[in-house]
Amino acid sequence: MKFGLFIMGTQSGSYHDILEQVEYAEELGFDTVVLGERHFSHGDLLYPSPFSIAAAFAARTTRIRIGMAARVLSLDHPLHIAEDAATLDVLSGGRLDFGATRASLDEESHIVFQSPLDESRCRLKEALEVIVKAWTEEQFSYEGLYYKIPEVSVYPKPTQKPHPPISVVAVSHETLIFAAEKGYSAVIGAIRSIPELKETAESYWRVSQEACHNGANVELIINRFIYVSDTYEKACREIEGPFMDFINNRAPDLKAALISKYGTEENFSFDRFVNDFCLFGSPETVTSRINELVNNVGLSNLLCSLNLITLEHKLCMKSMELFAKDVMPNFHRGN
Amino acid sequence: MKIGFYATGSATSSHQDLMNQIRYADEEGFDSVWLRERHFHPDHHGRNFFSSPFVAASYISNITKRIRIGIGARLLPLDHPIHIAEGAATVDIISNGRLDLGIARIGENELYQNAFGIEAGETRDRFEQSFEVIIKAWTEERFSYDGFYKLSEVSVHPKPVQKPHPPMYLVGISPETLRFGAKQGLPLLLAGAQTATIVKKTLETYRQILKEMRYKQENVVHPVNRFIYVAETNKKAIEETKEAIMGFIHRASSAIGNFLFLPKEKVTYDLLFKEVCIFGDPDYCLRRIEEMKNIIDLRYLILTFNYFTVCHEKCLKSMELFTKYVMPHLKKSSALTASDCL
Repeated sequence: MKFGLFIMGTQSGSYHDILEQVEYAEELGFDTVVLGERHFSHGDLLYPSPFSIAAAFAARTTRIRIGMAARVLSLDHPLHIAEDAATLDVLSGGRLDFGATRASLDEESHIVFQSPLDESRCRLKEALEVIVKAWTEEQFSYEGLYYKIPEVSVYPKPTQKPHPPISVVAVSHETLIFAAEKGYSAVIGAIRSIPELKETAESYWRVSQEACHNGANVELIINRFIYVSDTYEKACREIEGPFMDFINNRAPDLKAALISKYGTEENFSFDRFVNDFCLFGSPETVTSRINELVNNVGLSNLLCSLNLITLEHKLCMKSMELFAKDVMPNFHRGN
Repeated sequence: MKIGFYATGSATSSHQDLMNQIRYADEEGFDSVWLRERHFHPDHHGRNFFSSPFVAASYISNITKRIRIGIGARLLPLDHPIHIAEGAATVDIISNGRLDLGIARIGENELYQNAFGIEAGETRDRFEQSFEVIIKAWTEERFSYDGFYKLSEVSVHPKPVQKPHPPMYLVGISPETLRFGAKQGLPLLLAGAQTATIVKKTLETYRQILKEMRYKQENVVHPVNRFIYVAETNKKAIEETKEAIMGFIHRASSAIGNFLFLPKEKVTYDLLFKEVCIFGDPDYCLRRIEEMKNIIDLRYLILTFNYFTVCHEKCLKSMELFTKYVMPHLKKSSALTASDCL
């Protein structure tokens, strides 16, 4: 089992708190720290320039891998993205897990960067082709619908050969299938229930097999909201307020997804969320909830959302610690 | 006098060697380290390290303690100004306010324009508009813009730590670009591959425009970049640089010719030695710098110790001789602080 820590942000909005979390994550034995890309003020995430801050992670750590979930490929030129990623891979000594996503969670970014949402599927496909060529080919040119690149040699080349692992955030079924066909890992969002995840996993692995990807290098990375405290009751008491505040006020896109899942906002309830997708509780409860995912979905890579921007930094650090010390050791860690 | 270290990289050494040169500059009292933005460049043996200057800058800010981190320069038309504003602000925060941002129009390279899908005729307007957008993104809570970049009531975050915003520098040679920079009151960063005569002339013109624009031009400190190599003796310095600097000139892009206003084949070692570079023993190097100080009122010198063609060990040795025997004399005359720049 691999454990990634999704670095969402902190209540204070301070990058220095985040750096502290990242150093602590390495000390606690997480495999990866993962960050996303978010522009402007849209509530939750605060990384408009994810590779720039990831370079600080790289300088502060020596072992932990640095993941992206994800760069919004349609918002930037693929050559910039390839260069940023390769630079980070070199600086971190080959610790980058590259992650791509088709579209931003907000529409404003697509308007500002003049990259219409309806082009984003094709742009994702083209951009990934360009990026892989930039990383692996000494010289290349590219002629796509959106990107036309004369013969160039892009530097630096990444340290990892042939190139850093690639994952794609799969919100839609279409993107999930795209990732499986192309041989990319897929990142699955935090609000899917176990029956939904089962279906997702079946589709992904079936298509992946049909496309003759042997599965050795690809993973299904499942994201979950996690909070650990001494007892189940205490955990719920501590996290209910911050979590509901997060859903209701700070994560408009997540709220919209939950409304479409539960029909209406009136059907939102903390207990229901805990039952369906949140792993909140004592180390024992959280361990058994993870085992449930292992047994039903074949979970092997868990992306942990352990920090919310509505949660006090101190509580977040405490929950990370309990998770690392009392939950992670219950699973076989592989290499 | 302020002293900067221009980080270029070396053909025979690793990125970590370069980081070690930067650590050394931080520890030994250099005021700044400067990175640049370059794309592609197979002629640097695939060791172009500068395609993502903000990523490198953020890393560097975490392995250094006090040195300022300059980008000389971001090529504004190649990227969206919001990306540049966001990236710069991120680095400024991560480095606790140590970012200096140089900007340039694009300069030399048609390939850059084609690769990033920019029309050649657009670069001047993009450059000027991008500058405006970046400043707004940093300093205004919400703003709109209508030009190449169309922005409606956007609120860009995070904001930089330095207020009102990180110091900016202009890198450029064309009269229009110089005029634009002077209009904004920006210090001009003068490229290393310019003869002393051109540096002097450019600075005179630039200072004159600043004056016309009613800036207190005497408070604007213009950094001048020079290639340097310090060895135990002049003879050794010449021996050890001849091949290195000529190799650099021959491999480097046509930009060198543009900056020298000379066709590449007319660039001889003799010319470089006399007019462009500072190669010699510590006394000789000091004398050359003092000379420049008197002629052009030099208050900020950015030194390039490596031109891709000097190996890491020699580069460190030359830096060592410089910090030991040259820098102390220059630091004595230092009177200005960062806040005097703008």
